[in-house]
Amino acid sequence: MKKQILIAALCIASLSAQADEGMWMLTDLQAQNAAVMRELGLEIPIDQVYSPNGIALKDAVVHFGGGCTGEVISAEGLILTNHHCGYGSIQQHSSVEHDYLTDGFWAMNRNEELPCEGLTVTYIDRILDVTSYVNEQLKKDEDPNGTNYLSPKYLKKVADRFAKAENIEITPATKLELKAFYGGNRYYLFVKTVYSDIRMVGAPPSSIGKFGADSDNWMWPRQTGDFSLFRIYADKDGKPAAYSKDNTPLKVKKHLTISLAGVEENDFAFVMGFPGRNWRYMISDEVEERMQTTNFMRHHVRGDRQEVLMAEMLKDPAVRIHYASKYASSANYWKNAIGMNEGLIRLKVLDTKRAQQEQLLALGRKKGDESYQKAFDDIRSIVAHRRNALYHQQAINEALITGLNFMQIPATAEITSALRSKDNAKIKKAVENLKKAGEAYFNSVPYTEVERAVGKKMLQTYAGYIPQEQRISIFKVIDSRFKGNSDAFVDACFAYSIFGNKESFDKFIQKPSLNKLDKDWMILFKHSITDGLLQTAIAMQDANKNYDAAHKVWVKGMMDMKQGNNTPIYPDANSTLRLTYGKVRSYEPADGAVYDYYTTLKGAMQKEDPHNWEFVVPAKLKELYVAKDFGSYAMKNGEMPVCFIVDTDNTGGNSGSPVFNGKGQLIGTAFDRNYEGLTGDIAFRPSSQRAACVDIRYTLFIIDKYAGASHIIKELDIVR
Amino acid sequence: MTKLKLYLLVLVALVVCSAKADEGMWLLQLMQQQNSIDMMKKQGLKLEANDLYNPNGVSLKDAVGIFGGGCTGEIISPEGLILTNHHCGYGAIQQHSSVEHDYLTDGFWATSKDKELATPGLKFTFIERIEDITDIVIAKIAAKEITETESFGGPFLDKLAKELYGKSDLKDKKGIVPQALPFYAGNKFYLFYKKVYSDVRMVAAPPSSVGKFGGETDNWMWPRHTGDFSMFRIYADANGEPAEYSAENTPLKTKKFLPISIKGLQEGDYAMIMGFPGRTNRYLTVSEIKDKMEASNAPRIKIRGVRQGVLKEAMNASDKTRIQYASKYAGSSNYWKNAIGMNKAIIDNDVLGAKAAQEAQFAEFAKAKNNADYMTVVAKIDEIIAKGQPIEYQTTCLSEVFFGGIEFGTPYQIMDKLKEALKQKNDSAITANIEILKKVYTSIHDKDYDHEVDRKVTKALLPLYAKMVPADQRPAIYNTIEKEYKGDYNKYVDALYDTSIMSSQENLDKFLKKPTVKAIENDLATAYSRAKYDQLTALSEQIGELPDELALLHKTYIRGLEEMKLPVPSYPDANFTIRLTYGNVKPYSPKDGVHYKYFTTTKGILEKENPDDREFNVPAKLKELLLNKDFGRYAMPNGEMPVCFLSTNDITGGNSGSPVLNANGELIGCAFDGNWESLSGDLTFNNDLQRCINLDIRYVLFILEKLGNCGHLIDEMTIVE
Repeated sequence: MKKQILIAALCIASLSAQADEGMWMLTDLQAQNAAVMRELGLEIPIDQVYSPNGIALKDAVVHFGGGCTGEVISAEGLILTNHHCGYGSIQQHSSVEHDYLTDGFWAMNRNEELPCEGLTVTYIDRILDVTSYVNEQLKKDEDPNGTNYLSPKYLKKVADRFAKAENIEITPATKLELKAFYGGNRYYLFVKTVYSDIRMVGAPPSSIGKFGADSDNWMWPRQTGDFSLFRIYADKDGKPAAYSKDNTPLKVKKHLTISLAGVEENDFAFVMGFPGRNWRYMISDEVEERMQTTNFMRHHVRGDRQEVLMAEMLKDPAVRIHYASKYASSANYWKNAIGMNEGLIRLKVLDTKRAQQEQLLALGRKKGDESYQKAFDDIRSIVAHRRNALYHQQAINEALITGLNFMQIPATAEITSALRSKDNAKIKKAVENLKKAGEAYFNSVPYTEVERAVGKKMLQTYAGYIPQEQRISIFKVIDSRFKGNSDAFVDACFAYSIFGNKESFDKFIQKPSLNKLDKDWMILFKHSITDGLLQTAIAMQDANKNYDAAHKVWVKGMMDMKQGNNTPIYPDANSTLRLTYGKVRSYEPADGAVYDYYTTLKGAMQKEDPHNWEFVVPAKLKELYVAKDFGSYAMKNGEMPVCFIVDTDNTGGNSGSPVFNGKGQLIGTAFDRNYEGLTGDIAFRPSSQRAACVDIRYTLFIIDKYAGASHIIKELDIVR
Repeated sequence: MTKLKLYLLVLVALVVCSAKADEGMWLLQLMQQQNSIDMMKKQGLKLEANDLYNPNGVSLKDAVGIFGGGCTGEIISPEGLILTNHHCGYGAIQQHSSVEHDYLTDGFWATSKDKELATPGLKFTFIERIEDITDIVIAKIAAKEITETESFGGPFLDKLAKELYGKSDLKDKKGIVPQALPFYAGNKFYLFYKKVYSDVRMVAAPPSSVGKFGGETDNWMWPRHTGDFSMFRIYADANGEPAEYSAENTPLKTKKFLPISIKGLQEGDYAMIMGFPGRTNRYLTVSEIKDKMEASNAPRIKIRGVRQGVLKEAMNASDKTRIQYASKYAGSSNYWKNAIGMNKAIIDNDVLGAKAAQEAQFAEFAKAKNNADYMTVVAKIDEIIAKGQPIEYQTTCLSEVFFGGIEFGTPYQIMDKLKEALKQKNDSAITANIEILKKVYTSIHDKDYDHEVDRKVTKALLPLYAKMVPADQRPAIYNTIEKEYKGDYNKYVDALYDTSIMSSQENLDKFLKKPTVKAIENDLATAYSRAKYDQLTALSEQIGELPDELALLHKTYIRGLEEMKLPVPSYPDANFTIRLTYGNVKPYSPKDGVHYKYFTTTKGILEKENPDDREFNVPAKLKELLLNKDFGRYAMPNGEMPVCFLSTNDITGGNSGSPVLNANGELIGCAFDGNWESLSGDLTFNNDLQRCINLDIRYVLFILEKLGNCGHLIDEMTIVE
């Protein structure tokens, strides 16, 4: 499931939030949720989960990299997260000689742990409700446009002001984040500490960590060992520091206890993590818009691109390694978009939405409050106005920006202005800079033929969806100079552009000229794309201007309505720390069929297909399976558990999140959601949404028995 | 389930017969002797052996018969009302359908007896009596009146049946047809006196959107939501005896009919099925199974794969081709998948290992018994298979390429006759053969044939066949290609498809304007067709006596296996005679993490509904009934409406339409399919994967009453609440 979005569908699906549905703010737990959680099976006091002034489970849950969650599982800073969260790092360390993606990686001692440049781990030290402070500030602020209430830049300033006023200690590793919630009806400040010396400790081969790959992504039943291990390093004082070989493993203030007791149906479970984004307060028109623009383009454009990429990847292992991560991230939301649209239709989400908004509008009429109706009308008209522009924008985004790696060419503004100035010093400096940027660019796109094939396909795809008269300006050139043959245009880019190949580039660097820059195909193309985006943005500008204000009012209405009904509330996900709770539960994907709440290693053997890379089973794993050499990690009946599902409310960003039992012990790592969560028919199966988790017993089995890394097991606190 | 026929056959067949409770297609006439009635009682049966089958009186057997040519039907009212599957009645429903009265699409409900539609050609057959004639046959062999091989054969057994019939008290009864058949590979023989009724009328059939709901997609699949039933009625003359259709005929007063239980079912409930399973081959040796895999499945997989590749490409390129070839493609891919699945299942389930273990055990047994026949029989079978395998392999290649793959050709016998007539200047014969030729042309170039697509298929298959079959074993056209076309297949195929008389209307017209002997002698397609038939004949000559020899050996082997297993009883391979299988209502787990319930409900119909997909349309009225939960007394206690259920019974094609009976012998369902997982198996072979798919009788009655407004039919029945 990886990052983001999925939620849109969930969310939209069920506003009639049951007690176990919601991405709760930790600060609201005591007041809103603790009683229900205890009733469902939480055995520890809520302040052991989150305590504003003390150490709690929260202090072992970290933001991993940019978009995942990780949990600290040893006193020496060992972090458990998903394989797909560590994927970028594993890839970064991989080469044809050391193919850690294919073979896995296990540091057999601390010296072998590999530093990961650019990777960070972030602790949330404090969470403060600063709504009234921000509102005070906003009142004082003379904002001519009245848009500061959502402006990150403005809120950053307010955060600094607040920290100063409240004497919050700021170190170089401290990060303040003040975010708007509920569309700007509430504000929270997060005080964070960022660690930047993170090292790779262990990763299973992709045939375990990504078993099932694209075919099984979003699917249940699942047998994926989707985990990897990293470690936080700090300076000798235990403070965050940039990489140094003198750094030592962080002595953490809190780490999780691991339970090998396993899970049973209906066991209570909760999950903490950083869900990315969702849109549970959309009106029905916005849902439709989403289906017809973003999801539509994701589905069709990505499908086309992936087909080309896959063909190339199957031909050459080096190409496969280079594009593996790009392909995976594309396929991830390609499938999501398809599933979401299917689900939105079959779940009759639009009907549900309409019923709900009607309820709020009725409430407004009853109270004599016209603001809801006005907000609703505004949003509708905004959506209607921006339809075509948004459709075009998504086509550009998917086909020409995300789709074309070779268009990430270096900026040429500096060299252009230098040449124009005829100032030799400036020219020299600009050439130096361009040379560096060019090196980086050519390193990033080593496979010209793949880029060319993708480029041709993407231009055709784009032209297929956008009528001739609306296309970006480069198509006029393609029409006039290339007789409408976009393939020939792509060929011309690679043949003649200064970024088309290394020789052309070197030649240009030797003798830079304005004339060359002005007529360069790739540069013209890039400008045309930028211009196209700008045009769509301008077309939407007016419509969007009033959206935020209307949305804020609408969300306020929803909050009021729920609170009026004594229903607990939670804001849309925004990559801040949340908690969701529920139960381990099987489900019925269709009449007559039941999906178990757990899977076993037997399932991996059933799916094994040596001819399909997605379902290859490593020989050693098979040996262990056949010998039933499961150590102390097997279930009572002797089978080896792999994954299980819980009915908690997760989304992308929750990837890697710890799954706790009622005692607050770690029982698994969340990594995906199920397809039926999107496609089930809500009228008949109200409860088919599940989060898929790697059973911690499988994780330990792989570390211990498969990798033979028992030194890692020794670091852990394990209860049986 | 017509498909199920061949499929299950072989597979089930391969399953090792360690006679578990669920396995076995038991002979009614051996029930007492084999003590199977005790096993059935242990499983939950509350009836006595005589209630099921009574040689001297009326029993459940008398409410079960053969419906048409290949299905089972059961009597559910004292007025001769028959319940069977929709797919069994399909031919009859289609026969009565026209654009004005499209009963396939809209369903058919006779609101009174005079609206019931006579269906010429449709018969219903009761088993009047079963006699053991083993001793008679053995005596004839001993007296050297016949050879052992002849004893299995149709000619001898038909003659014997007629002789015995002529001497029996049934001789003068109407509608009696005698049939003698070998069992246990010729170790036993039974004579069946059948009573055939030939005035059978169509009474009720749901629309295909109920009776065939799920179509091809759901075929073999569970969970299933198909209302696969139809109803007919037997009419008889004034004396209640079989008679051809007459307006004077009246509904048959049946001596036995099945009471219907709507009390519902629970997991583990006893369930038994009586019916007419078609064919199984459960007593094969390792070598025979390998032969099936290598000489039959493997070449089929390869050749069909190539042909389907060509078809797929052509179908993707043109909608017209897609529609023309849809059914041909599906037909090809059905058994292509089947062959792949079967070979996979044999390996996955270690069928060869289990069979090898059985052979080893048998060798021990033979040695202990010091029985020379038993000691050598498997080796002898292996020897015959070794001899026959190359021929069978070539037969498969030949028939897959030239009979199942390439469609074009010319009826060379007609051409020969025409040539003869031309030589003799026999004008009437010339005219007659030309007329036939014209008809044949239309049947080749029919609406679903595209000469260009077929040309591509031929270009792909001719060289493939050459790679698979040694040069000296190929049809004569390969010489022509070698000599006259320098081995250039494309050139030959183009000539075949462009210049042959039957290539185009133009060529044919030209030929017919002035038919000559020379033109026929030079015709490529005539030579092509002759060559493929010649090769087929050559192969069947090579096979020669091998099948007969194999049959004798099987007789020995099966007798030995039966002895070895004693006291555990054995059952003979299915041969479309009446059998009984008993088991339980039971769910199953098809794979890790997935459980299938033992029943489905109408909820699933709404889930699967898709107005844009013909296979998953739901009739408006049914939808209304489902949404309003207007289920009458047929719903389950929780208010849901059941549709289908699973049982562990051992069935195969031919069992379609069979009654599923509870412990009291009351009707609870109607069998109509088998499940997919029983074929593609688990890592370790698991008999628990095999299930029989049945229609819940409550759904039948619900559709009949609520959708068909046929309350009057329900009034005829005996309903146990």
